[in-house]
Parts: sequence; structure tokens; C-alpha cells
Amino acid sequence: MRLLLVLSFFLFFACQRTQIIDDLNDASFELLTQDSVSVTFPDDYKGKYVVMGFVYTNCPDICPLITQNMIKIKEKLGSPDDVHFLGFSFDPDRDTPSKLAEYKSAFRLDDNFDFITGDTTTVSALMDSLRVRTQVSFTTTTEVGEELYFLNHSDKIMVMDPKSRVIIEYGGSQPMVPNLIVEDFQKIRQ
Amino acid sequence: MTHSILCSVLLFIALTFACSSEQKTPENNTVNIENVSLEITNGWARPAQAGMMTAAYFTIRNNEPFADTLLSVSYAYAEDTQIHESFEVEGGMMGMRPVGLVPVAPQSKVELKPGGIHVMIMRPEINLTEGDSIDLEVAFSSEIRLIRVPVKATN
Repeated sequence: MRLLLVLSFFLFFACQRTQIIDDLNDASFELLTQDSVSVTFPDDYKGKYVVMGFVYTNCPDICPLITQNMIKIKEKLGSPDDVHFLGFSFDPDRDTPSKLAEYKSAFRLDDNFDFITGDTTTVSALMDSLRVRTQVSFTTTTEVGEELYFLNHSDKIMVMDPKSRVIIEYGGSQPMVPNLIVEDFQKIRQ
Repeated sequence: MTHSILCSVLLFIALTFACSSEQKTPENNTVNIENVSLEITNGWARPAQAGMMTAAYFTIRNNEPFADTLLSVSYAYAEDTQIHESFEVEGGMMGMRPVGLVPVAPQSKVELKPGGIHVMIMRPEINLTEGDSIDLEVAFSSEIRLIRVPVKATN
């Protein structure tokens, strides 16, 4: 009986560590990086952990917080080779690869951190798969007469394991998130 | 007599150095004309490439016994500058909305900070690079203030 209890205890914690939120193993999305390089998501990242945040570049406050949190996670993990960082833009009409390249440049990021997007249909399909939502919040006209729209959007950073399974998910802009993800990461990789 | 003259000279030199060092080290790098009634501190702006969107932040302290209002903020080298607020939308979403006026109650402070009220700088004409600083014109109902804030990735 005692042995059964101990076994249950270990099984419980083993299951906790490998909780699968979404399984993208059978999914396939054709996307482009900020350098206009075609990638198949998630196939091209199999064998690596992927830390992924959801952003759009016309967002001046929350999305830079999400990006900055991803940078903190990268730094706290020590930029390991088996972890790739992706910023996924859910605003494909405006966030062309060249715009994403400018955004990446502003944050001074290296080759291990890419921004990706795709055509509208593919981006919508990927957002549905990962339960990422957006809606137009308001539009404004600038002093030079240009109309701009802004989005309400899911606030999320997720971690995908080397088998393309989403195993960690947190509110992306929250200040405590880098520490939480790094702690979870260390438990998973033990 | 000689002793008292010497003391006066030393006191003058000490006071001169004390005053000059205070002027050279504005709080948290925000260059702000000394004004005890309305203080702007802790200012900074996020880096951005020309043509992108970015944000600036600072703290306002109103030491007066009467209310003031932040009316607008402008940056000369941008397409537009507006005051916005990030807020939590239901269902785990975050959103942003324009803020018309920002009241600053008597003897209180208002923080413009990431995830809250912020100055949205729309499409600057020049790159805002970490280590640079930018000048913002901050308009209150009582006065217009010019501040210089550093560009940095985080505060």
C-alpha cells in the first residue's frame, strides 16, 4: 500500500512536468521570417524547445513588454543552443518581413531570436490552433491624416517542447513571467 | 578677523560645490527644470527604428495643494504623439485606448509606466537608439514643461 502511494506521488509529479496544453505535432504552417526566409512551423523547430510570444509591431507598450520578457528568459537561461525564440506577428497585413526586421533590429537580437508571420489565412489558422485572439480596439487619425488601427490581443508567451507540444503558457507581459518560465523550464529539463 | 574671512570663503566654496553637484545629477536621468511645485522624474523612452511605434514614460508629482491636468505630450520628430492607456480586456486579452486628459490630484503622483498610461510616439523620423535621449514637451493646464529622457530598453 505504501509503495503504491509513493508510486502515485511520483507519477503525479511526473505528469505535472509533462502537462501538454496543445499538441502541434501534426500541424504545418508555412511562414516567413523577418529575413523573408520560408519556414514550416513547427516542423523546422522539431528537436528544439521554442519560446514563442505573440505580438504586432504597431503596439508600443504591451508587445515590447512581451518581447522584453522573452529577452529576459533568454538571458536567464543563458541563451542555450537547444532553445529558439520566436515572436509571432498576428498582424500580417502591416507586419511584412521588412517591418519585422526593423522591429528585431530595435531590440538588438541575435540569430537565435526570429520574428515570423505569414499570409492572412495561415496566420488565422495558427492563431486558432494556439487560441490567440485579436480584435480591433480603436482607430486614430494622426496629425498627418493617416488612419491607424490598434488591436486588443491575447497576452501570451508559450513554450513548445522538442516534440512540438505546448507545455508552458503564461500571460506574456506580466513582470513575474520570465522567472516563472525559467523555473518551469529547469524542472522540465531535470 | 582673518579666521572669520577664511571661514566665510570656505563656506562659500562648499555651498557653490553643493549647489552645482545637485544641478548636474537630475533624478533618474530625466532633465527637468527645477520646480518644486510640479516634478517630472523617472523618464525614459523605448528604442525604435524610424517609422515604428514606441512609447515614453515618466512620473509626475504635484506638490501643490490644487489639482493639475496633463493635457498632452509632444515629440517634435514624430508623425504624432498621443497619450494612451494599456488595460486588461476580458478573456486574457490586453488592449489600448486613448486617454484624453490625465488628472494630477493635489499632493499626489501619477506614473506613466509600461502596462498602464504611456506616451505613444508614432513613427519617429529618426532612430531612437539606446544611449540617446529625446526631448518631450509636456503640457499641463498650469504650464508647459520641456523634459529630456534617455532611450533605454527597460527601466
